[in-house]
Amino acid sequence: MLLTETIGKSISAIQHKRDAQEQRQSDEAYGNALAQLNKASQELKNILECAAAMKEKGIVDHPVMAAQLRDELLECVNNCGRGVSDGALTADMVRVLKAKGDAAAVQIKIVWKEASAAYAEGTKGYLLMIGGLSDDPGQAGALADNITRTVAGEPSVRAVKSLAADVAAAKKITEAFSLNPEIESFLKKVSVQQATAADLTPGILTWLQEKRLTSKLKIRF
Amino acid sequence: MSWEQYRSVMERYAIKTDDMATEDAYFIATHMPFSQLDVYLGGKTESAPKHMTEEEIFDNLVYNPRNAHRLIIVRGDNGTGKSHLIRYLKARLENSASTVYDPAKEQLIFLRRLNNSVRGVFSQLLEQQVIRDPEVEEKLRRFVRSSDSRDEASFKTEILFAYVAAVSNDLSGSVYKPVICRDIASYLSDSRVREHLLREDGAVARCYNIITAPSNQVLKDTKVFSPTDFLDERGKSSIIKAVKRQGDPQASDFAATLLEDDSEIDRLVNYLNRFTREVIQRCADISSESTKSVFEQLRRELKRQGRNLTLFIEDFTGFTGIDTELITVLSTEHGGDYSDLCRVTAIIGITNDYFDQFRDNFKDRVTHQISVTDRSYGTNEFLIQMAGRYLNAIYCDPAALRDWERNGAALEDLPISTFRPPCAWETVKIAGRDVTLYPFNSQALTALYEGLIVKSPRAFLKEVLRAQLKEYFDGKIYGDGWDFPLNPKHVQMHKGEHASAIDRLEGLSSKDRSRLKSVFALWADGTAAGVKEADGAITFGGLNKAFLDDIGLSQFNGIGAIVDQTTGESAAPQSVPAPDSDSVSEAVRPAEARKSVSRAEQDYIRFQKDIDAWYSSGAPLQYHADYRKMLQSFICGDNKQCGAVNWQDIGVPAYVAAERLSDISCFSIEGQDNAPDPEKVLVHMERSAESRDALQALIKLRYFKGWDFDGSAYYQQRLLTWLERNKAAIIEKVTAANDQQQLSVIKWCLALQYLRAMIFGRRADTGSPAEAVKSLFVPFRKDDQIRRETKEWNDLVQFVLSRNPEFDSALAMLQKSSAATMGAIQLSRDTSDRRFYRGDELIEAAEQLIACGWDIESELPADIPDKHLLYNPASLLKKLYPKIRSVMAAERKHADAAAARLTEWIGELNQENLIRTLASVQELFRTFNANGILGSSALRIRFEKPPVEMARDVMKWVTVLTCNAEDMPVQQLSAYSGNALNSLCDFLRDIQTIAQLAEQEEARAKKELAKISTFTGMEAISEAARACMEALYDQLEGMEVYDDAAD
Repeated sequence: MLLTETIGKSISAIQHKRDAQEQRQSDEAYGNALAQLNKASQELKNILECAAAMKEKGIVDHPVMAAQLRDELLECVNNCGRGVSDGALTADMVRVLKAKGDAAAVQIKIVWKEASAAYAEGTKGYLLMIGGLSDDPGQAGALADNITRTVAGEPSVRAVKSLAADVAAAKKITEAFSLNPEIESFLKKVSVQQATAADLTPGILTWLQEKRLTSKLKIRF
Repeated sequence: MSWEQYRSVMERYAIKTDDMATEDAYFIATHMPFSQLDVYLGGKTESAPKHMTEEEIFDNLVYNPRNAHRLIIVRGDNGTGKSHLIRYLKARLENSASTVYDPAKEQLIFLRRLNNSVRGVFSQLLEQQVIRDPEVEEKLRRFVRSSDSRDEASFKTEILFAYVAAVSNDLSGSVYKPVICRDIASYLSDSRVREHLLREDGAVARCYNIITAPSNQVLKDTKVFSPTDFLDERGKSSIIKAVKRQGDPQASDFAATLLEDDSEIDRLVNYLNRFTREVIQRCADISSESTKSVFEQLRRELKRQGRNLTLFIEDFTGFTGIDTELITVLSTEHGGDYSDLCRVTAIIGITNDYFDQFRDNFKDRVTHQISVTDRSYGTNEFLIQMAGRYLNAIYCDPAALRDWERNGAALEDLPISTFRPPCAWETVKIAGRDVTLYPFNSQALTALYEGLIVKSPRAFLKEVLRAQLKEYFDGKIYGDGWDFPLNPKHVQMHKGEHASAIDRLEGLSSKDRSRLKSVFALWADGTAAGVKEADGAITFGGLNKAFLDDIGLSQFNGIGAIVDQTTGESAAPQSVPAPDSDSVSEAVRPAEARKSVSRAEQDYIRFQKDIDAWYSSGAPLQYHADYRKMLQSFICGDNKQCGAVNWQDIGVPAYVAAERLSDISCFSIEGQDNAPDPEKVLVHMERSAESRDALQALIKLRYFKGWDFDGSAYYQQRLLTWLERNKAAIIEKVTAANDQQQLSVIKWCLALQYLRAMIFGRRADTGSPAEAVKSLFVPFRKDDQIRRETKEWNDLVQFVLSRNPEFDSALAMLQKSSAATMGAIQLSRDTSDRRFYRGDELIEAAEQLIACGWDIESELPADIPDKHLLYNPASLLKKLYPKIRSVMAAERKHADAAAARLTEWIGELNQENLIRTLASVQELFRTFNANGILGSSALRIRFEKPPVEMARDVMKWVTVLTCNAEDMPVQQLSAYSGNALNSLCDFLRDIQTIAQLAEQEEARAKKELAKISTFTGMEAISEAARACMEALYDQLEGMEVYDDAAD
């Protein structure tokens, strides 16, 4: 065999190998991008569902996402969707989508912090005040703790549902605890630390003795 | 008296030829008194001797008025005069007055040296009526008679068996054990041994001689056995070996003993010699006791008669066999227990050898020893006096001499011959009267005596006086065919040029020229210088011309001019060639030379004698090595003198001449003892008068350290004559050239240089003859960077390396033999080592070499001598050309193979294919580079050149290697010298490496490709993702949003 032929075969083989290596690298990158896209889209979906749940449970009564953000998210999702269709999805495309999803998650979280607290605060405070007076103080306490944790935690469909359920349960307990208005007014003052000695009326004192709460209430100056 | 009478008197009376005793008249007339004899008391010689004259010895020892017991031995070597002294003492006693010697009271017995065999002794004892016992007398008479009449062979056999019997009966064990003695007896009886012992002049013959030597013979040796009696004629032990192999067991055993050690033969010889006495007694049938009784009875008889005994025995050797008994009887001192014995005065002659052999017999019995030494006779005065007495006796009338002896032989009355020499001649004084020495003179007598091998009075008489006189008398008697004088030792004339001139005398025969030189060497002053004396007599070398005329050399009239002593003028010679006048007056030189003893003079004289003996007598040249060196210096020159041949002028490179003649073995002289290889001899000197003179000239030149000496012109002329006569032959030998053949040494050397350069791969510019010469005038060394492809070429390089000295010698020869020696003036101006060469010869040689392509194998001589300076280059070339041929064949074969292999990779070897291939290679390296394949950077760099250039190089190599020069190996060598083959092979190896590399990388790429996997299910995932995106889009789209702009 002539040297030129030998060399030609050698060069061809080397080239072929190189092409294969490049294809493999390309496939790997596409696969990675798809995986990232799946993750980013799942996160975005959760956020959207959370926002919808918050509205649905009444935690918020207004839209939680800015229109611009939604538009941007739409564009990104559109890009990625087109990329998938074309087989040209890149990690960069996914990263942009994820960034926008993250922005939406931050926005929802801020809303969640405020709205969840507002949604659960009154119920939880009253529960806390009367929990010990309830038939099952332990349940009341646990419930209060759950509400506290959920409000402090990340917003999610689950958190929304849990908070709504817990607040509903708390309300059920408080509604079951019947009091004369004087005592109820007194306790509400106490719970918000606004009760004074002047509020200690004989009826209150009697009720306190009756409920053996005299030693549990402290006067502060 | 006539010359015949003189000769007759000499041979019959004075110096007898038959060794019979001379008669008393001549004995007394020629007797030379011993003046210094060593006398020892007792038988030992440890004490210092007294020195006595013969008269003192007679007075003190022989004359014995008080009847003291005396056993006197006279010792000396053969021929020193012991017998003469004893005979003189006997005569002196006989001729003494009756008060000293009274026959009535003294029995005088004289046993002569002649008849000194056992038989002779017995005869003399019978004749002188010494034996008184009738029975013993009868036995001895019977023995004497029988030894005369007996068959020699049977007598010898009897002698041998007497030895065998003596050995066989030896039970003493003193030397051999008795059992061994029987073996020896058996060995001696073996037929081979017996035959050898009984051979003529063998041991038995010697013993037979001792017993029965004829009366006119002198017994000289009493040792019977010698080692030769047991070895064969070649001195080998073949007889002993034969006995060992084939002899009877006892003889064989003893033969084996003899073969064990060389000393065993000596031991056997000494052992057998011990039995000689016993064997002689057995053969003579006399017992030891009866021998003793002979002299005991004599002494008793004499005692009874009132007489004493004086016994003179000239030579005791003849008493072998009865010597011990005789000594015992004679040593018995009279008186006391031996009062029945008479007084004895015994004077016994014994050789020193005999004395040494039987010293123990004598030392305690002898009363006095007289030792005759060379001091007793060896002086010049003694010899000249002795010669004068003998000459006088010869020239005298025998009757007058006998009358003188009868009348008392008083020395003062000694008749003086009337012989008259032809001219005034040297004489000696005898009793105050002049006696002529003619035809001798004292110088000749002394010189001839010095020339004797054994210097003794007897040798002087026989070998000098009698031998010379015989020739003289014969010459005078017959008038022609002169042999006088004899010159046995070839004494030479001191004056070499005179000897040379005599050799060239045309009027004289070769023998006469030789006689003349002998006369001048021995009789004269060593020259032939002619002088006219005041009385008109002509002398040559101090010798009167009349003497030369008398001995048949009258034709000689001198060499050169004859100086008139009265006027100091020179007269032209009459008929002889004249050497240069300044060479004639060197007559005094020998005498002067003898006075001084410097080493140089001794050498000079030694050389002169050697050269003369070489020429005159054909003797071997003893100091030829010295002469050859002198000859070498003369022809080649040395640090003292320039050479006699101007080599450059005659067209022989001085270097060549110097080198060729540097080995002394190139010089030979006929007759040198170790003849050199004739093939090597360049300068040969034949034995001739001319050569003799040339050698004489050389030794004179050395001795006198130049040409400033008397006769120098003559010797110069002789030396140059020799040189000119031999010059052509010498030059022909030195140059190894002749009319038919001129050696092309320069051409050979140039060719060798060129071939060495080519073999080493060095550049030699052969564009023009001049450039070729210039570039080849340097030493070429091997370049270690150059690698050759074939074993054959590497072997050739090794061959050249191993013979580098020879190549260098050829270069030296080229440089030096073509160099023109510049004159002293030129050298003084230019002190650099710049050289001047004979360009025309060099260029012509280079032209011829270029024309024939440096291949001159066919021009080389067919027969090249071994180790020959001039032929060495040709010899080397002759070895080199065949090697080059075989190397080139191998190289070509290798080149063809390389080209064929290359074709497999490249296709037909042309520019186009090469460019395409080389471009492909470069593409490969680029691919390697692009794909991170390392490959070989060195290889890549080698192929970085533009393919066009590389292709051009390769095509050039191919063209060189495939040139059609197979039948011209030297041209092929020149082409291949640049190592194109190695370049092509390197290229081939690179190509092969690249191909290998390409295949390797191809295989690797394929292997790696096989490992690369592809992803599956990607489409489904993509579809799911796309659906997800659509759902998400819808979800987003349906989501309530607030208008943040409104916020």
